[in-house]
Amino acid sequence: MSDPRDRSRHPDDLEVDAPASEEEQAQAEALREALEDPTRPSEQAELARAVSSAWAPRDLSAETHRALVEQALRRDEGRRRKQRGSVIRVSFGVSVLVAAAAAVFLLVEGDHQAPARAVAAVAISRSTQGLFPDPFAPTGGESARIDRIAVARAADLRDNEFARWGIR
Amino acid sequence: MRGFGWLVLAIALTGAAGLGVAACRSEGSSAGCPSAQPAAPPVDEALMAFLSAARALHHEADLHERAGDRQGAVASLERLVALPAPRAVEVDEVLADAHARLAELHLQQGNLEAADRDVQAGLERVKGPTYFRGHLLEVEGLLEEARAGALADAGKADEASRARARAVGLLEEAVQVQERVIDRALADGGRDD
Repeated sequence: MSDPRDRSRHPDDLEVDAPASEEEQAQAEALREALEDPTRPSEQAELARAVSSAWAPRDLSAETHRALVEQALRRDEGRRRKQRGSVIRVSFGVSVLVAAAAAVFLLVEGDHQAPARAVAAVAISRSTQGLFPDPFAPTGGESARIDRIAVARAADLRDNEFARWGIR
Repeated sequence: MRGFGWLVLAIALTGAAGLGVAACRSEGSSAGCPSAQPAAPPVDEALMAFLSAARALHHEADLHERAGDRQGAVASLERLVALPAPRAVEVDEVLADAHARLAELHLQQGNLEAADRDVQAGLERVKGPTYFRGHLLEVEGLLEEARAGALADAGKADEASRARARAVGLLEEAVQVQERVIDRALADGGRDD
């Protein structure tokens, strides 16, 4: 006797009452489970439900309704995630443009404000020669000179501190 | 989308560079700015601390000198020239003046070699025409004058004569430096500091 599951044979030659193969049994089991549980993805189950609804429409069970809603929400969440990615990229681009504009503004504005800063410039280290209008005596006078230098630079340091604190 | 990404990257780099240049200009800081010119440091606490210590040690030397303790005065001034010194023009000038005073004290003690060392150390600190340099040249002239006297006393007439010539040359150089300082001060309209 030939194997009834041999599909290479002509359909007319198939024995209708031949027992189902293991693969067919597994597929049938999967379809049965998908029909019982609408959350299981199965094209055959969806087709079966569509045919059934077309022939005899009826209300969705609460379980089926919940499963469909969950499925729809999952699809929507994926779409939203993609949109969020686009929004982040656009926001970054706009931020960069604003930063570039701010840099250009500072460059231009910095030139305008230069004289104002020069007014508030700090006292820098420099020769103390200007503190002494006359040549030094041949001997002595060193303590008087360091007194004058220290007093003058103490005033400079005070000015610098006030400038640093914004007090002028 | 790739094109947009490159555009954003280009704008970001331009913006970052712009902000960097703006920071160089706006903070008055030369650190990290490519074309910054070296600037004199501001008058700060480190400079003031040095000047304050130098002032105290000069006055301490005064007290020793008044008490007839010349060696004590030298010790105070040796401490001054050994102070940790921040880099500043004022520091160089104060140290030059301290070396001049030390040289004078060594001269009074007859220690010509020590006096010469201090004069040279002071001259290393002040190269430009200032009263500080002029004063050091003057002290060096006095040193050579003292050397000429000592050589003459030792019967070394030729060497004494050369030392006297050096003394005259140094004192003349001192006068020239002082004159340049005065000329410059007059050209500046007597502006202070």
